[in-house]
Amino acid sequence: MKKTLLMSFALVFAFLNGVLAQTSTISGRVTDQKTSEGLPGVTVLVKGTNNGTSTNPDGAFTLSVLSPSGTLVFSSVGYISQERAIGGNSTFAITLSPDVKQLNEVVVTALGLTANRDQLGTAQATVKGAALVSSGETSVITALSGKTPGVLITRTSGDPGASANIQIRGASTITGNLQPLIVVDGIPVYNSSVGDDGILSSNGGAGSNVVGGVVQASRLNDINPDDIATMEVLKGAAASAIWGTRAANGVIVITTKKGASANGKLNVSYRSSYGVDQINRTPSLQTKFGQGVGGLYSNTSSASWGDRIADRTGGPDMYVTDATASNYLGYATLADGSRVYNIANGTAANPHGGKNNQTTYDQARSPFTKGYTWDNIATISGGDTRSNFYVSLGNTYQKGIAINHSDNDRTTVRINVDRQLTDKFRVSVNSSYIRTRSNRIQQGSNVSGIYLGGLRTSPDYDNSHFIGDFTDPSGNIFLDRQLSYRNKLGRATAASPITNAGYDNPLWNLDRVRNESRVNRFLGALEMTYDVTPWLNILNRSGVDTYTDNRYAFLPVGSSALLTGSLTQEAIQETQVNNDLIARAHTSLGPNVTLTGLVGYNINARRSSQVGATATGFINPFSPPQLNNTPSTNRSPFNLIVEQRTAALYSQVDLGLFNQVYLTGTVRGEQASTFGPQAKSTFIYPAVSGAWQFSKLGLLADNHLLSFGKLRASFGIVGVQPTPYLTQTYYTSASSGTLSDGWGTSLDAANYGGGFVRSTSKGNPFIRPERKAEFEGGLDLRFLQNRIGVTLTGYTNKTTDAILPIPVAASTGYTSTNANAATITNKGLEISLDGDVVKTAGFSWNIAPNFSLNRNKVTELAGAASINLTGFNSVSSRAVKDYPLGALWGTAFAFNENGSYNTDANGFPKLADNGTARVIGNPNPQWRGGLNNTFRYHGLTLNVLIDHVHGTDVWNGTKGALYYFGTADELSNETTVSAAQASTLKLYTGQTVATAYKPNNDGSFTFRGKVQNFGSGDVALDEKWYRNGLGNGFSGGPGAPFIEHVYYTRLREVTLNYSLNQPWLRNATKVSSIDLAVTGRNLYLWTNYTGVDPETNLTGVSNVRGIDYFNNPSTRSLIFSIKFTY
Amino acid sequence: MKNLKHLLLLGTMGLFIGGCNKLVNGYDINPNAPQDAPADQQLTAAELAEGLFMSGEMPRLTGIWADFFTGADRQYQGFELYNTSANDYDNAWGTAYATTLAQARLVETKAQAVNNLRLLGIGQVVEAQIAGSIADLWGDVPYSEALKDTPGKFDAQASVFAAVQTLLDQAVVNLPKNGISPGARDIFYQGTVTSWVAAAHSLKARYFLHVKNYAQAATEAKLGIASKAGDMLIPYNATTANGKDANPYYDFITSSRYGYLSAEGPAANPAAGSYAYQLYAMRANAKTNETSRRNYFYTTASNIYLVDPNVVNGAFKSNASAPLVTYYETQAILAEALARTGDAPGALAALNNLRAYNAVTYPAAGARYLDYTSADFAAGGLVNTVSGQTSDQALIKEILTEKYLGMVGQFEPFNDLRRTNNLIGIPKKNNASPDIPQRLLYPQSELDTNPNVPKPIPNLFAKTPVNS
Repeated sequence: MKKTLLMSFALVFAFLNGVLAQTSTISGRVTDQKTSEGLPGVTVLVKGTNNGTSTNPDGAFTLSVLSPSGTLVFSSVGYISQERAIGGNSTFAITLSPDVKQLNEVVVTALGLTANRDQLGTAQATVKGAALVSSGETSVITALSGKTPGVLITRTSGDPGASANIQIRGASTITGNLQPLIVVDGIPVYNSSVGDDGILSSNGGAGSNVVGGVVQASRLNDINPDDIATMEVLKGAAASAIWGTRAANGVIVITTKKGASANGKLNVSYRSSYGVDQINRTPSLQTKFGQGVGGLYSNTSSASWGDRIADRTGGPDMYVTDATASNYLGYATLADGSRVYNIANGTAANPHGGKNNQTTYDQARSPFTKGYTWDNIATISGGDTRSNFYVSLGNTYQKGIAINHSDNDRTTVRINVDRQLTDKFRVSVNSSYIRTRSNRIQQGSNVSGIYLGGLRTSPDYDNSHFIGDFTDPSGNIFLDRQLSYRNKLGRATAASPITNAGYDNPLWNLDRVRNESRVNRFLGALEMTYDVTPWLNILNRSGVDTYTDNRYAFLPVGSSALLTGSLTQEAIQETQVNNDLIARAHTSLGPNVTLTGLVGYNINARRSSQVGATATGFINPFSPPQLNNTPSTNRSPFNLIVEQRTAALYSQVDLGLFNQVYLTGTVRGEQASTFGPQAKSTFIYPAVSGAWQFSKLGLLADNHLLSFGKLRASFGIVGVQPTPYLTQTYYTSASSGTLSDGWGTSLDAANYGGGFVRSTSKGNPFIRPERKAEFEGGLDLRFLQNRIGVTLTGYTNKTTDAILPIPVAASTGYTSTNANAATITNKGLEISLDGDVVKTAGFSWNIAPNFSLNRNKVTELAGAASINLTGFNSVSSRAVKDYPLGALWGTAFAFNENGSYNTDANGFPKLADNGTARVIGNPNPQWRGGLNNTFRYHGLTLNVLIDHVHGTDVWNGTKGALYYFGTADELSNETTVSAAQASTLKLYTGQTVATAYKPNNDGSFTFRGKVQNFGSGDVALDEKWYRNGLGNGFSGGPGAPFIEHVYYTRLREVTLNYSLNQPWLRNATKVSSIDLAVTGRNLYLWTNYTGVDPETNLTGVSNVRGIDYFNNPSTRSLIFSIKFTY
Repeated sequence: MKNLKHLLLLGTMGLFIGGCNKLVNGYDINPNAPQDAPADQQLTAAELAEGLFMSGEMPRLTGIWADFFTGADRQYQGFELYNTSANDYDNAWGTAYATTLAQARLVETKAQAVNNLRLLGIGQVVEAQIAGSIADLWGDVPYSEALKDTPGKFDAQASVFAAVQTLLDQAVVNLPKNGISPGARDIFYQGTVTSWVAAAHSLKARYFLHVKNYAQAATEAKLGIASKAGDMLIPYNATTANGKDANPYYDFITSSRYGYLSAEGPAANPAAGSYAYQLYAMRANAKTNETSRRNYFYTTASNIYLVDPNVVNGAFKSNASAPLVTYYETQAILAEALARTGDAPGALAALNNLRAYNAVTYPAAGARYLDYTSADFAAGGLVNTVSGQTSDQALIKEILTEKYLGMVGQFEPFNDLRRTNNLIGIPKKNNASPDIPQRLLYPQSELDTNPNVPKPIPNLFAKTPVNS
């Protein structure tokens, strides 16, 4: 490997060699001045030498010393150091008092080792496990929302267990793994979200860009928030550089709870909470106009541009029951025996046809009801002077708000044990077993999507009758048919005997369509520490994370997404084995210099596999999901393996000077299997950081105002590994993915005896890791005896060599290749404050605001104008040169130079540049802020978390489509104009209102829509504009008008907690405390967004942002919780 | 002792470092995908891609513009009014170049390497047909410098057609030579040399026709496909949609994009059907009754729209194979080429071949395709009722109309409309447009990546060079 590495660890060893012969033995115990309990981990050092040790869990130590003339130095993080002359004594009783100038805050670094926050040269946010639990979120990721600056959590949907995207300090890669590395107790674990596009696309966190189907979980959801002691968010490159190519998106270090008790007491706790979940917001829909087009009722139209419902006669509909009538179509027999017949369509003379009923339905809410969450966890923990243990058993069951088949059931068991086997040898085992079962529902751009069919349904159709038997005009009966607003009778014919609903009736879909996932996961870590000498220890940490996700996705016969039905049954397995061998040494070079060094060797192997089959065209429609219930030619088995290996050597040196300047340098040299064979084999990731506690300067030391001040600066380089298998050009089966015409129609060579194509994606043997270099600077200040704290951090980073599939001119025979082509920059600012506004014995009020902003820009894109991340023809989210990553891209209206619309001959706006797409929105927020308030009054705690996101663009594609379909609420307007006005007021088609509409009795004209002036005089916006013209965001109209510039403020969390821990309780019940809590989650949303939730994003875990296209709605909850501690 | 420990530690570390490469090497090769495939397997894919290109989204689109079909919903309503943008063509262009042309060329290279000249010839015909189609639809396109590492220049349309002719000449030479038949891997002709040679001549006739070299077109047509049995078809076998071997029209209309495409007439009278649909009835005369042919291409019984392309039991049903180059087209080329080169009797004979073909192919009761005579084209004759129209003009118009109504859903009628300046007079669908569309737009993907795209970018109504 590289010389630099050899040198760096040669250096580490050089200063370890001053080993001395030893003679007499001394011993003692160090206690805390405040609590009088033994203090573990205190460094005991003979001043001016390398001879030293540290105290055991009980605070005791023994040490061999050469001469009695030396001085012992006792030091520990957060305590004032003490010196004591040996002077021939053989036992020592030392009391250390806390250092009031230093918060005794121990943080966990990227490697899972502890450090003192005040000595860090980088910003590191810590979230306590209790805060995650009290958020009421069942997933660790969403529980992190709003809690720390610079971290943006975007959920995919409100479904239970749905994935969520974590973005730290903006997007720094386009296609690679986008998620931060998750390290649990020192072991990297999976946070994949494997979508329908499979394990290769998801790449352990790159996420899915699928725009329809179901939302799978993020695997980090498997971790029970209750088991978490702390969660550290390492945002910058310097803090995480030791993880090299896995750290570009930050590192989240999770430490699980350990048992702790020196006196052998057993701690038992049990917590139970029950939450009620409600639909939060729904898009508003119109209820004034019925199904149909052109103002006429139509019984089968996909649109709701029909007749005015209020003008109907009322009463039951006029069914066509006469079998001789030309529009007799047979009938559907409902479960209750009633029959549904065809209803005559409206005509110019009678716009209502046979439709008399005036009842309307709330289509946005009908697929949903109340959901609930029941969360239970029991823990037992304890220990003695040599060992600790923590055992927990938890279950979280969440039933989604969809009326059925939407839930998530997670059971977790965790056992963490550690023991000091000998004075020098310590072993700890952290292990967890998780079982998650979930049922998922369809969403997004998917004719079986709940909201796609739901929101398009005409307001006058009752979706609740979703099953019936169809009797055709000849008397043939077709059993068990889906009834939908476009096919109310469940019609089928002998020639095509499967009923086509058009879009699935959402209630039928929730009843019949299934999508299930069952996960069994094991996480285990074994850590062994051996103290070779008092100043050198060796640590080996082995970990494994393995899970199997058994899924099936079942669309029964008659599902709109696949009429003949489809079943995919598959097993996804991922296993990650990681080993770190670390040698650590510390020494002091004279009174004012301390030096710690470590060298580590890391190997990591990840293997994912996916085995399963898809079968379509069920033979027996009544069969349960069975692959063999299909013609053998309709079955496509698949198996996939993705394997990645990484090996690295790393080193870290920490230098402390004069107890106020702390410098850290790390370097990692890494090789990985994903690098191209033509690229160089080893990549080096260096980082340096420095912290200066300037408040310890003599001038400031006795200052009463400023209790602590630290300046920090750092620089680091981290990377992103290429997605596996980009290095070669492969051959692929000429399947439907290759032979596709872009509209869903495709061929598969398998039906023709098989056939292969050379992939249209060209391999790149020069592919190398992406590199992100980051500068970070900051200031930590604390005032008034640490009562007020301020943390300021600024950073700038640049990702070079970002990998992306760059389009290749198809005329070269390839359509794309992957190249290290893009450059992305992020600049940002993070501020957090923490202040005790009131602090009395009984009452306290803590206020902790945070603020962050990030400016992202794609500065280089290999000459490509834009790279489609995902989305639709009308609006997509893209990487565009000189714009922020994820920029919304679509068509817009043409404007003149003076800002007015460029209008056509009739006065209506025209498409800019004949419908050429351009950047039309920035889905990255301008800034974000959070405000956390904690009030304490004796045992009562009230916590209120508000967060605000300012200035982000969301494409309300749902609304754009609903304008076409005529169900959007804005389309319930009617406008009446005078006869004179009507004779000149033009429609989009150029007709006037007077020619297109019938006059009212008074000669005026009324039309559905409104009058608007685009700068060339008044025009009438009616169905011709919204549906047939450019007034929708779905068919022909531009995407830009449906981009909403959004701000939102969310009352994310309100928790009222009451702790009962008075002595009488213990005496009476042996319960040491009872905690009662009520949490309101997501209670209120102030926003100008008109869709479901501005925090939603169709493609979830991905770089795509701001796409809302029939996303399932989010929820708000009220959670009651009780916790007993014995 | 202590030092020994350190040495051991150092040594172990050293071993790890040495082991680094071993640990990661070899894992960059995808265990899920092959790095090569046999030439005959690749031929299947190339033929399927070509078949899909010639019976998929582009013929649907040009079929709307040729007034066979009606864009009825969503984006297809836009196409109906000629509203289209560059990215509507990305997919088709990619299919043409990357999944057809590039694959065909690889088949040829691999065939040549093992001296399988028969397979080489087949690959050349497949390549010629896709290259010709690309030039037909987009005009000047990359060809001589296509399939290179860097994007190539755009060749003049005429030179692409010339290259296609050369390629077909080579194919005609290579096909009868030695080689191992691809058998069923060749989904068009199962490796039958005579069929391929005839198809090569028919294609030569087609591309001569497109450059208005009528004499050569006639010569080649006479050597071309001589019977319906020799038609080049892409077989579609599925009985349902989404079977991935269903006719793309069927799949698109009944399943993938239900409701997007119809054959209804204008909003005022949807039941009247598209212009082509109406034309069948308008042409009825003493010798002609087109009802059964109309009913082969169109249906009123699918329950989707009042008039739909016949996805029930006709040309676009799920298992209807789609024509790529046919006996019918060859005879139509011959008829027009002879008519334009002064051989009216020959042209009439070829026209009557077409009518005989119709009589056999669309045999329902009432179908009537009696032979026309030259008297029928004389002024005032059965098919020359327009005053001032010469018999030659009437004959050419009849041949083109016959061809238009006989090749519903294929590219050729759109090519003919553009080449003949819309001689048969189909109506414009958008009155604000100068003409019916004259080409496909260069795709956005190529505009973004190939600096050689002609500037200014020609618009939808700019004729391609051979038509202007």
